[in-house]
Amino acid sequence: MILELECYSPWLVWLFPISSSFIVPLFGRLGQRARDAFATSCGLVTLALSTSMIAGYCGGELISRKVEWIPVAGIDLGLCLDPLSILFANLVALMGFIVLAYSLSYIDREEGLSRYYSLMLLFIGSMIGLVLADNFLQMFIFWEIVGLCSYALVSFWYERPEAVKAGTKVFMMTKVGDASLLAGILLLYANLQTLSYGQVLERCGRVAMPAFTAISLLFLLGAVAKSAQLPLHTWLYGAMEAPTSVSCLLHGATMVKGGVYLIARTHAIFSSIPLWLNSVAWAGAATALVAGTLALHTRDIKGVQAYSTMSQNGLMFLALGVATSPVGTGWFAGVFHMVSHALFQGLGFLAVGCIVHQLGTRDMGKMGGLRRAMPITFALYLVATLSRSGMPPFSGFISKSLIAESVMASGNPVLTIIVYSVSALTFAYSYRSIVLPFAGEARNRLGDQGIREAPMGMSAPALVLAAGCLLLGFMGDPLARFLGFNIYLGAFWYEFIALAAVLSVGGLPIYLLYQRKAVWVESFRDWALARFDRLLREGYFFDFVYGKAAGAFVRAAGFLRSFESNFVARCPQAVGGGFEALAHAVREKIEAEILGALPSLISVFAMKFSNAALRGFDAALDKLVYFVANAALSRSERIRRADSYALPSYVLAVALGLLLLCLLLLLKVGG
Amino acid sequence: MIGTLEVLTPSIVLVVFSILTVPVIGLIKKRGGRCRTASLAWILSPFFAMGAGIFRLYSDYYSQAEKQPFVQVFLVDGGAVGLSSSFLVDAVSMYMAIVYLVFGFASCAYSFLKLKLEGELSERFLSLFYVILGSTTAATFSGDLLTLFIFWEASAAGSCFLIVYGKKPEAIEACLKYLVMIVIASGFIVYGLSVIYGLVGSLNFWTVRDSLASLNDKNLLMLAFALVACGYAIETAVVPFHMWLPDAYAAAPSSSSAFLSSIVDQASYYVFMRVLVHILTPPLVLDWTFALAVFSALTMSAGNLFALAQNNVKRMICYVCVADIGYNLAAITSVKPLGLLGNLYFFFVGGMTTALAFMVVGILNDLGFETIEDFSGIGRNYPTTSLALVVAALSFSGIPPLAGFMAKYMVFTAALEADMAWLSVVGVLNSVLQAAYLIRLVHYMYAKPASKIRGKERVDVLLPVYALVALIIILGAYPSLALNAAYPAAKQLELLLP
Repeated sequence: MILELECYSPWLVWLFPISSSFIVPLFGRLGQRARDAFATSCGLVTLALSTSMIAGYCGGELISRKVEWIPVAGIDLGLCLDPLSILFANLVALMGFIVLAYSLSYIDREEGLSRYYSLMLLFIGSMIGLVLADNFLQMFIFWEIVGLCSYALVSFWYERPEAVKAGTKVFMMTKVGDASLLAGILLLYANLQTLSYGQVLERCGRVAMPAFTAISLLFLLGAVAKSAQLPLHTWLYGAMEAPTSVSCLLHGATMVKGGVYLIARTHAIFSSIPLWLNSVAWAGAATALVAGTLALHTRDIKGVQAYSTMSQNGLMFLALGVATSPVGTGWFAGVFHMVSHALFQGLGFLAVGCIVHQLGTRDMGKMGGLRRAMPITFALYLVATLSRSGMPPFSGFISKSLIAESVMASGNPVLTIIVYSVSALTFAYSYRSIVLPFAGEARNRLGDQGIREAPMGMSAPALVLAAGCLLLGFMGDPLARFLGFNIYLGAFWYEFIALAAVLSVGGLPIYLLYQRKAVWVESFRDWALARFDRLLREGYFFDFVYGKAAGAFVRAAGFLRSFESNFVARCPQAVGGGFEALAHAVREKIEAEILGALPSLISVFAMKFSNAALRGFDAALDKLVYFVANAALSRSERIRRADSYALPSYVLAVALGLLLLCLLLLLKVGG
Repeated sequence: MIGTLEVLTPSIVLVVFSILTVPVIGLIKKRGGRCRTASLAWILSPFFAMGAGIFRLYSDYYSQAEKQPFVQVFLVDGGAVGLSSSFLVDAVSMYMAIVYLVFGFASCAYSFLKLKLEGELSERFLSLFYVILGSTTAATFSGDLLTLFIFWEASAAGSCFLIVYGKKPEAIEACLKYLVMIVIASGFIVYGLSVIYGLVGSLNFWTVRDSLASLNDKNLLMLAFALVACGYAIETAVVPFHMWLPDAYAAAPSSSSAFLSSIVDQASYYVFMRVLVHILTPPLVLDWTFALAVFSALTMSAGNLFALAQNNVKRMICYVCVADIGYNLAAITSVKPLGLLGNLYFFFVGGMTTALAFMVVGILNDLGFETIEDFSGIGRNYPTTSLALVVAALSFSGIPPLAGFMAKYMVFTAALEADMAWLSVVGVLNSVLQAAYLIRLVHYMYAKPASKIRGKERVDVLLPVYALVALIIILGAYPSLALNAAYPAAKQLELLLP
């Protein structure tokens, strides 16, 4: 029995949630409770299935299983079971279950919950499918479904225009990345005639270098869009319009890790390309820095989480980029940070969800003194934040030190400085996001009456994550062994000390200042940031530029429409006019300069002829149209004259097309 | 043994029904009472008869397909006569006949339900419908260029009447434009055919193919090819020959548009593909692949750009049709089994999706929603109808769980097989563009404040609509359903390649 479960659980673990997502609406008919219970228990079953994979998976070998899906086109459905995919699948299943349990209390009173639960289950299933896929096509399919779920869940509250707008932005921006990824996959297929990971890895030496570099960069762009890295990062902030449970699962813990997963997965294939490695590292470093400053600027408490997610994802990219091979420390550091970030960021979102749920606002400027009103939430948020800023017993400390170590080892001083400054920056914005809502006195705009602790149903799942953050801090060595690394983390003690030193030197003053004089520091920060205010408020003008580009596109579309309605309709007239003008010009020129009778005669003739020919053509077609029309329409209907001009241009287009066809044929066959 | 009668049974059945429909429906209408059930039975029975005919042909053909993959049937015995009309049964034409049956059934059911509700179910409309379907099916089975031309023109001429059926002024104008264009097209085709006949002395597919392959001087052939291709390009609406299509389909009643886009349009791709791939097989006869690839890229890009520019939703869908033609041409450029497989699959999926889109837009048009601004907020007032349109839009833009993705993927791999990576990159970029304007439509439908409710949502019309939605989802999850049917056709192409 157990053996059979081991065989089937890698299939069931994604097929089960996907299929149950279609059943959820049926349970919705039975009643709210039944549906909620069904969805959550599906999450639990998925978690059980995914943990059973750990037991079933033994040894470090890559196991690949296949069934035929589209045999005639040679496309298989396959599973790739290796430490990375199993680790990630478990992460998704765990986070999925926790968030589903959290949603029971968090979005209790909403409309359209059947939609919510089925999309969440669909997402969990597809995300697990994404990481377990053993070829790029299958991965891409799940990649798109996940994107679709993200779109639908961000615009979950579709009565709110800003939610739908954000959803559209999410969809379009990730679509750009998806298209690039698809192009990369297609080119890979064109070069290697295979898409399965194992075969691609075997054969990838055969691809010519320029093409291979192009493919790797196309893949990178896909990953960048999914993980909200520069320059396709602005969607993540908008995605915060989603319910916070959605933000937690999709935009904090799992979906935005899709890009990191893709980089980690393709690292073995592309790591021979220095340009690719450098681009990965620099995209990550730039995002980590830019997003860190933005997190320090925003007053939106969910915005802080969004920017911090971008920034931490940037650190993962950076770590993966400095690893020259998939057995390097950097690779492990990136993956480890991915896991620990999923836990503490998930926790952060859940705690923020508690706050938003109880207060109904996301503006930190309107909060304050919540420490007393919501002690459990405060403790949870504190754990998340300490872990994120890399405080010692928590998981973030270990993973961040490892990143710093691998960046140091790469010997690039600029990147090293960036890593440490990002760490200090993280500490600063994290600390700010604790002090503003929790410390001090209640800012009276909300009134401090009636703010109560979030219900137990919300804190309990978050407590599990908090325990996870703490536990993972001590799990570094087992995790390294599971991933097949021969690393003893104790060997990096000097790194740990370095990071601790940076944090205490950079962080202590901030801590002390904020502790004593939060309001004063905030005003100092405001003053300090004021000169960059515009820059930060506009998010470094990325959205501005994209907006301009989109606007230009829309204007171009408007031009096309007028082209269609006006120009095409009047094309023959225009051509006739052109001939006439040309003939005029020629005649005047010739008359003025030569004053000969003959050239003038010829040009007049040319002019007359071109005019007459076009008119005749026009008139003939018009006559035909009217003749048939009048015959057909003996009764009443009018024909709008303006539009029937269009017909000659259609014929003109046909003539042009024929010409083009002949030219192309001559070019290819005759040449 | 397959005889002429067997090949033509589906078409003959439809023509007979078409002749009988006018008096029979008239009779049923007069009797009143159980009018609806009786007329439904009458209206759908041709499809069962046609299905039986196709099934018989199918089993007869596949019982001997191993021995003789291309069955030719001559009207005049022996086939010695150069101009004898002949028919060809092979896996491709079998597949297409089945596709027509499915689409015909769906759009007929839709027209019945929709027109019935308007209280003007017309026997003449249905009669035209059957005749066009019959001649399209016959065109599919034709085995020489002249027979193909005759049946094809018959269905094109019939289409004019379907376009003009609503008697709106725009429809009449559009129909006239269409008429002029197809007259020009047939002029080109006949001229090209006469050159081919002069070169070869026959118009039979295989004779033409064999003689042209051994032809030394290809200049005249090129001229003939340019003329024939230009003629069929007009009827297929390849950019820049496409301009009649948006006018015609946008002005036609939506049941006509759904029918035309799924059947006549698909049939015209089929004719294009049959002539290019099976007769003028490159590089054996003529290397036209590069020229076609350029037109494919042009069609995709122009179709999508113009669709982006549209305000009228129906016209936008028309331009999506044009863009679809571009994807089809991209699949044709690879003259390989995989390309043909992708092509046949795209016929099916593309036809299904455009038919679905026209059906839904037709329902909404009837309620008075025309432009994209009118569509504001209809997602809330008409949730079931809108959901179907969203499925169509997502399938058009190639989002994976739906059938459109695998269709596009196969087309792009086909282009790669033909060593035209640039074409597939153009295709991928185009699909971003497509996603952009379709998501704009979805955005309007759900995000904008709702305009006022105009009439109730009709549920019974949605039956064929949701049948198509289900088919799109099922084919998305398990494409093998259609691909297995198309596979023998793709396999047979190997026999023709050098």
